[in-house]
Amino acid sequence: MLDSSLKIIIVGGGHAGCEAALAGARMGVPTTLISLSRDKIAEMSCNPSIGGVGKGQLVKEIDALGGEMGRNADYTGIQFKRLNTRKGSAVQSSRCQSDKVLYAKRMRETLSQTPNLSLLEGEVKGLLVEDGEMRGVVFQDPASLSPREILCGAVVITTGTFMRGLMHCGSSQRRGGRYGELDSLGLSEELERLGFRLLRLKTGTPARLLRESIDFSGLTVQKGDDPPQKFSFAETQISLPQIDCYLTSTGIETHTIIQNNLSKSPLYSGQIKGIGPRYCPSIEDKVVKFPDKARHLIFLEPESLSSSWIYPNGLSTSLPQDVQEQFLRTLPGLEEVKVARPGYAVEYDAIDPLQLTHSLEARHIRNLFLAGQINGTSGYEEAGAQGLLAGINAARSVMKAPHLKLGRHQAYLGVMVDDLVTLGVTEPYRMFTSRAEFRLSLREDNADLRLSEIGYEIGLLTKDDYKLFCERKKKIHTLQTYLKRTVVKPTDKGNATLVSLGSSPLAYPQTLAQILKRPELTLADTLALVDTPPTVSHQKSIQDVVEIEVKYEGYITIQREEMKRLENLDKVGLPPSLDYSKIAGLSNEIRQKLTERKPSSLADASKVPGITPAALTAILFHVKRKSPLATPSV
Amino acid sequence: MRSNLETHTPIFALTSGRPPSAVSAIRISGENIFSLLSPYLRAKTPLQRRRRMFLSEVLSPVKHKIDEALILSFVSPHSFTGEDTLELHCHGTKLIVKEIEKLLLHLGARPAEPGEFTYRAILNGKMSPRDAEDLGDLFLIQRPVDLHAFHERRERSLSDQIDSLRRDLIRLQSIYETAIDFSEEAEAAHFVSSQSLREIQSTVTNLIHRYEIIKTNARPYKLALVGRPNAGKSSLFNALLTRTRSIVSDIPGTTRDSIEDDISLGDDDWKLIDTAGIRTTGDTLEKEGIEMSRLALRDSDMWLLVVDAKEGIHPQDKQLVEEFGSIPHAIICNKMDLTDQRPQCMSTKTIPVSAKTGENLLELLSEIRSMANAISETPRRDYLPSTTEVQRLQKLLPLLNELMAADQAGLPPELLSEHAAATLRELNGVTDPVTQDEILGRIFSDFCIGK
Repeated sequence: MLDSSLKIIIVGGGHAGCEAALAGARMGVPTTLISLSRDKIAEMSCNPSIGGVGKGQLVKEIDALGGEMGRNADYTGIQFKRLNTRKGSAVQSSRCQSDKVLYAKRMRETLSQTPNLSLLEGEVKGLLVEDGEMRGVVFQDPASLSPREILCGAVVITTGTFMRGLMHCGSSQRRGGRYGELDSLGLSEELERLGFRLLRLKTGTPARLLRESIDFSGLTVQKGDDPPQKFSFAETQISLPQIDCYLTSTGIETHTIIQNNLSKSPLYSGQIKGIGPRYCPSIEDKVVKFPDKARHLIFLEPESLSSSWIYPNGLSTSLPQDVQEQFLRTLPGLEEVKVARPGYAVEYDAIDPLQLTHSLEARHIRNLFLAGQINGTSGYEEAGAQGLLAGINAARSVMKAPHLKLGRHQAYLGVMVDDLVTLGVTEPYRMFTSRAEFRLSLREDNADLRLSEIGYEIGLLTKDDYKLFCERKKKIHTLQTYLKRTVVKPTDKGNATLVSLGSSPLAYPQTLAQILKRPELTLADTLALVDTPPTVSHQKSIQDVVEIEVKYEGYITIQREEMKRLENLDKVGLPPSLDYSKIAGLSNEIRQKLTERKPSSLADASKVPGITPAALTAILFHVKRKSPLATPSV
Repeated sequence: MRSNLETHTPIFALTSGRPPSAVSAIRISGENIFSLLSPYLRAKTPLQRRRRMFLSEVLSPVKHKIDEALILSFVSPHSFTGEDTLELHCHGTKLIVKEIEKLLLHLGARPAEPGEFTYRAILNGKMSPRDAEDLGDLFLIQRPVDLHAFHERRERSLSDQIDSLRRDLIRLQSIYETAIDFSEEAEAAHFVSSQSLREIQSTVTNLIHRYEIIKTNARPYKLALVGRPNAGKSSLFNALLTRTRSIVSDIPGTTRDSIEDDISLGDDDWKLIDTAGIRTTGDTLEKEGIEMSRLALRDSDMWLLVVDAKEGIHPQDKQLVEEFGSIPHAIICNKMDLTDQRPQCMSTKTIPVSAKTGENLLELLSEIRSMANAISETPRRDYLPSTTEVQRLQKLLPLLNELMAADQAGLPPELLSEHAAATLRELNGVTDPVTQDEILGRIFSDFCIGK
């Protein structure tokens, strides 16, 4: 029998759990996925969509590393849309509506077809820890009376909203992590016993509506892109029929009903103690906080080709069911609406992510990893990306390989993990492009250039996918070299072309790359200045990367300098024994925070909220005095 | 100051009372200085390692008495530098100071480099680098109001103006970020960023300007005399100077042909400025004259509008009052000996006077004096930035200009955001760093986010 210390266990079959399990198994490590209900694996508990601004970047990164989310989204998407297309490509993102039934089904099939991966139905009641190291889990098989121990080398916990989950709908409360499902009670206490600090968070979901009861005739149609653009860099296909979404809105009447019934909302009655996300407020919140707004937009999104449920995006609520029905019927198109399932809020336990390392391992328990909503995040993409990283590192732990850590300059995933483990959370964490200070370099179009090399090296990205990547990389390089080496001389014809494009004529010879820097010119415009057609790729996806790199060059250079400055700060190590009370010029608050966090470097210290450059200088002076090293500028 | 100074040798410097003076103070700081120096001190009580003050004879290397000095001892870490420190207060003669310095050199101490005591204080955690910068600024300050502003700043770590500058920039960036991260969800409010950009720029310019004034502040308060040609500014100028000179005797003689002169009003030294000088007719030159008067006015702390009692108040005069009404001022109705007319102007205080006969001059002087006292007693509400802050603010200006240019060129929000972020980064040196959460917080409070 195989040595148990070479196996890993994933607890939870949500979006984080699926990525973690697939990553481990694909890297060749025997992996067991334990889930409360096998049928609910990869369920889309809230909105039926993948991607979005900032989130699309995460999906592309998962894909570039060899994860599954992007591929699954391509095969099961029923409407694809690129967002922010009128802005620069750094902030353009992909999103799709998914057939939630098919999404979960295809993911389950992928799991069951993956070698090294076994699925187990039941509950994890306890964690076996010896000498600060994970040894296994206590597993309760629903078919047997007493729990049994399963030994393993590493564990990834991805239990989402199920820990001490409490659902609210009006004044009624029910235990459970998701509608119609039980919560997992013991694990919270188990984690608390193991020294984790628990946070209480809240999220919500709107009612689901029956398609037949909606009158779509007067509503604005929201079409997807034609042709749709897929997520994956691999050879996937968008094969499902594409559908439309619809737009409606709330009105004064809606708001009055909500205002009059606020006392029945557990959010306002004080029944809910958990902290919800500011970016995804309930309709109650929107009405209260923005009383001047006469209307709020609501998107009606079909959940599946095979189901008649409609997801009204923007109407998350925890008001009682009768009030929900009452206000829903004030929206155009919903006058006769029938509710398939009421909206509800759910409170759940999350752990304080400050207790994790950059590889998502618990700081105080070796080989215990946590990923997804349990770390205080929200969203499938955030969960999936963490699950992937945790799965990779659990596998690397049992393989005795160093953990994979991604920097803020490398990936959105790196930004998210760094934010989580150095800043912690005060509300469910969602990815935004504004969180990524190097976002001009962290784009969807270059996710593979940033990460596929790594994905292949760690044994996750397949040989075939890597080959595809190498071909693409070569084409990009060829085009870049061509632009840098090809010099255009001023000619009457060429200058006439430039003027006709609203640009100025050439005064002296310039390379194509230099000419492309002009904001008014596209890559196609620039290539037209050359008489002999170049033997470079005309693929849009290739040209896009090259074009944007040239256009952003000046900005990217500045960002690189900033990265370098951060790296310099990183080089100034701060010993854990450093006594911050001995450093003059620090406020007591900062002293306390530094003492708690024990930053490992000046760069880490610079991320502590409230720290000032003056405080950093003071620390630097102090450390420098102890060990006279070269001084980076702060 | 060199930053690679060694810190093992004791250092000394004359800290006060350059000879000849009644008393000269010499400070010595370093490890072991108590035991080093004690053989050369003959005190009534033995030198002890504790914080105290005592009288002692100071002996030369060959044990000849140099002087009798008052000695202050500060025991590490309870001293300015954090090291053992002695202060010798000796008689302030060149010879005595020199002999004591010779003794210290003999004992292996060396003269301190400029700022070296402060440097050691920082290294020993007695002072933060920021405190040291502030200390440097203290030496630039000349006026009581600025001293007040300085201490205010030290007490409140952030000024309102820099704080609001920061808020404006965060708001600006939050608008760009909203356009990116919530393009679908938020119905972004229409926003003219060029307007608030201009406001931000003028705040920065004002702060720098205010600092420049203080820095060059060997400058006393300025009192400007303005008015139409032939209103009698020059005679008033002379009359005021003569009067004050006859009252205040310790002012040395000055050149008579200057259009500026020193005058003592109340507790402070003032500069009296006659803005006249251009008397040529002709429109262009007239305009130039007015422009010069304006410049002097803008820079003044108080001004007097001199009008000819016969002529009354000219529209140009009114314009000046409107434009510079925020600076304390009064109207002087000159040549009252020639007419009984008393022109009135708005609500401004009008003082009739005759520069020629001296009639009412004393009343005028006492009026000016009370105005001057009110000025020097009123602390300005302006924030006084520190030297480092000003350096940062100066770096901020070109970044703001780039942002404005990018905004006008219609660059997409992700690039405008880069410019705004660079500007905020520079401001970070002045204030607390901006966290992403503050920008997000701004977004969530300004826009209804969330589908």
